[in-house]
Amino acid sequence: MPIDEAQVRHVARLARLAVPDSDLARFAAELGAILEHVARLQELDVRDVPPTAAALGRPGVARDDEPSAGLTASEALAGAPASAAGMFQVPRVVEG
Amino acid sequence: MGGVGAPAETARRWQTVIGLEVHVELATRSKMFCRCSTAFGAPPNTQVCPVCLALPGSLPVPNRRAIELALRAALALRCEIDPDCRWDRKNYHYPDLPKGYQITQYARPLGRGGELTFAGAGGASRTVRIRRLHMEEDTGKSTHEGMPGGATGVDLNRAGVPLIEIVSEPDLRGPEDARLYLQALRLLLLYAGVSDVRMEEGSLRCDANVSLRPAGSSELGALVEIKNMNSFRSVQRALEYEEGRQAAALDAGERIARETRHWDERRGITFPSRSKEEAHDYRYFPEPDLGAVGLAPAFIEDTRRSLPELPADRQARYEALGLPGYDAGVLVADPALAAYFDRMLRAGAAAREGAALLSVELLGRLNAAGIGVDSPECRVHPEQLAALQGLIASGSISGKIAKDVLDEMLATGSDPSVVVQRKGLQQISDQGAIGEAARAAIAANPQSVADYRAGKKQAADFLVGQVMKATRGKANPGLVREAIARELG
Repeated sequence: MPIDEAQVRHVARLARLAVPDSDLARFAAELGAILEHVARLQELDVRDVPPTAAALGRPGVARDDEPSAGLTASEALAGAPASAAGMFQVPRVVEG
Repeated sequence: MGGVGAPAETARRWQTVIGLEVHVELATRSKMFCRCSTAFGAPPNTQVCPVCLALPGSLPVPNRRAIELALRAALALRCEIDPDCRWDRKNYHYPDLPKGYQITQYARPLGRGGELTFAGAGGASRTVRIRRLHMEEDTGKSTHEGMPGGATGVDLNRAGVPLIEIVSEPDLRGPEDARLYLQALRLLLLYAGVSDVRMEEGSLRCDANVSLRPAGSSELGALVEIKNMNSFRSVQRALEYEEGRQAAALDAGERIARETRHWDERRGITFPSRSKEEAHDYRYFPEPDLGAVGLAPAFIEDTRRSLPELPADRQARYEALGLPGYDAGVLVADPALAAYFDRMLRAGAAAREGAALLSVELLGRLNAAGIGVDSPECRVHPEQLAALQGLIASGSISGKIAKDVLDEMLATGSDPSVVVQRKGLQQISDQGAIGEAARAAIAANPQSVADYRAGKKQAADFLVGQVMKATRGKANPGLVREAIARELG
């Protein structure tokens, strides 16, 4: 299942990963090999196996609607590279 | 309403097609996948935890109440329920989305194929089909206020608040219908107890898809998505502007670009958003951290049975009692008012007269005083207002005196019969007493009698007025009129 360098560039951009042009060919080959490996699963006969998306999650698990205290603002912001006025500070984003 | 507004000729040439995507915050106390509070207006980042901050190793656990409220909404909209509905991840990067994905429902939404019937433009009944209703989590909020050097600040209190998204089919044919649909949807969700649906606090949010097509065509034109409409009025204004903009462009032979546009409330225009098409490559896939929602049939049926009477049914019930559609609509539009009216009915009030007494007399006074009908400051209980209506109906007091009685009831909280007794306001229906008063008025006003005899029939009205004045408004006006006519012979 080969993928080309344009696909690698596209996926990297969506994932906000900076992939140097010099690495594109290598990633294309490696990702292609992974997809090829996974694609082998399609050879299995699964007609009698119900589809599932989660290996662990049981259906119908839920909790009561009871709030409880989480972190304080200073705890929440402790790991942030920058903060101001109780907010996570990020480069300017303009909506629209 | 402002906006460009398509000229009549253009309006005939193009048909407007609108679908709405509505997001509603569910009325839960805690978030969708963690126990943080959902209370509105707390200081930034004080309602957060490792789950909604997306700290490594944290896992989501769904809120049962949120699922129940979403189910109530789906049932109220007559959706087909998928008991085996699932969670998916919608992947994109934005500072207000800590995980880098939103947990939502994509392939298997909670509800499909619903409908909402409402009174559209001009009062005509409209039915809009609901394509899907799914659950998801809200994002955080970005702001520039108080941030150094023009940076963006992110508050994650809202991140993870439970939402439903309600997507309509493109069944709306104009901006006014779109606003009326949104208002009907809001009222339905309010009745169903799903949300507080406050547009100004963002617990009800609306995006619109708008396209124009040649009149008579069944194909959809290029779709334009409109965002940032923050009130019912701005929904209609934005859509009116957009309708006019697209019609003018099509009339000029231009093509409409498929794009997202933002509504600018102050300038009254829409403008193209700067976000790129690539941002729409969301790479949805099944959420591996969560199992299927798993709705037991008994739970679905219990929830269906627990729904209260919904606005359309209540409207129909009031109309069946003889209320004009508009009057019924005024009551239904406010759940507290409708509840008050129902208690009046149970206390024996006549529907039409009781509704008028409530929505004109009582509400007029309460609105002037800034008091809600369900507030403890409203000292007139539904049973008391029903009793007042009964006193008018039996002829004990006139409609005019009833207004004074109501003022006194509001001031003191007394029963109307007590007020009437205490103030001596009992209507005078005694034929003898009224005849005496009529003769006195005639004797005191010879000029009016002469005018009447000379053919000025309205002179009788003056004499009736004199009797009402002499009895301080307590005489039965119908009987007074008869007596004056009889005495003038």
